[in-house]
Amino acid sequence: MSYNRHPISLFHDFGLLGNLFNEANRTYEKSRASSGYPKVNAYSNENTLALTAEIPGVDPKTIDISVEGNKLGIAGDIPSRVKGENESYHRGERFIGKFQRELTLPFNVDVSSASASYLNGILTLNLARREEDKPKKIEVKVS
Amino acid sequence: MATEKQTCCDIENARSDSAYTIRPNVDIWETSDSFNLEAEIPGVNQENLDVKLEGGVLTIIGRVNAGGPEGMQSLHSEYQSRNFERTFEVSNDIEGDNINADLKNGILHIVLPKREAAKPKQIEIKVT
Repeated sequence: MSYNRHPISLFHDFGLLGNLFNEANRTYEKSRASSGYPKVNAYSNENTLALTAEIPGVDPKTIDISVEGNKLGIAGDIPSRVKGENESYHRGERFIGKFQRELTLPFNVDVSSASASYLNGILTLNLARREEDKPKKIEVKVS
Repeated sequence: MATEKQTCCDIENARSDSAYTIRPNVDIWETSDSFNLEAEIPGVNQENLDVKLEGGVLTIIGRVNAGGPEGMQSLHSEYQSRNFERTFEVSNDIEGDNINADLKNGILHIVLPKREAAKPKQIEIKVT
């Protein structure tokens, strides 16, 4: 299933780099992958990138984050409650189940310095640009 | 319990300049002893959370701090920082003094115990 919900023009900061952040979501059985769960915000400065994702109710130890080059994967599972005896449900609006997203980042990430934290249902990732990917200043010789 | 007081919390209910207000998703279930409510309120910490029962109405208000990390520009945005608010009518069968609320991983769990009189009774059948 191809999926590209966010126009590239959103990333004018990195416009020269082309198709940034294109979704590479794959359909995942009984998951929200195809509807873009979790929702992600991204913030950047020159050489670092911070991503936040809303994933309420997940055990942070079970979130699977993978980084390879400029590809970032976030996957996990929000388990459903074990229903007790004599229980009846009045409402069931919360998101339960597996999720998976894959994002293309604007630069190759230095995996050794990547960090992740989870607080109040928000996953935060801090990613730094790989040294060899950092912009180089080119000196112009005047002759 | 479980009757919703209002159907909508729109932008007019906004609690701060930088965020708007939405209704959080909830699960509500009933056991023989209690009503239980779980609400998804990612980004709300304990200090910014208000849960109250007044005049038979349970109100949940959670405020979030809008904005991203300092010194960084927004590059891509799929969700906006927003406050959460939702109200529920609570039946008289609830023991209002013994309501328990707990916040974990962005989920608010409220247990509303039933009054003794509202709990199901086992009726002993005498064999004669």
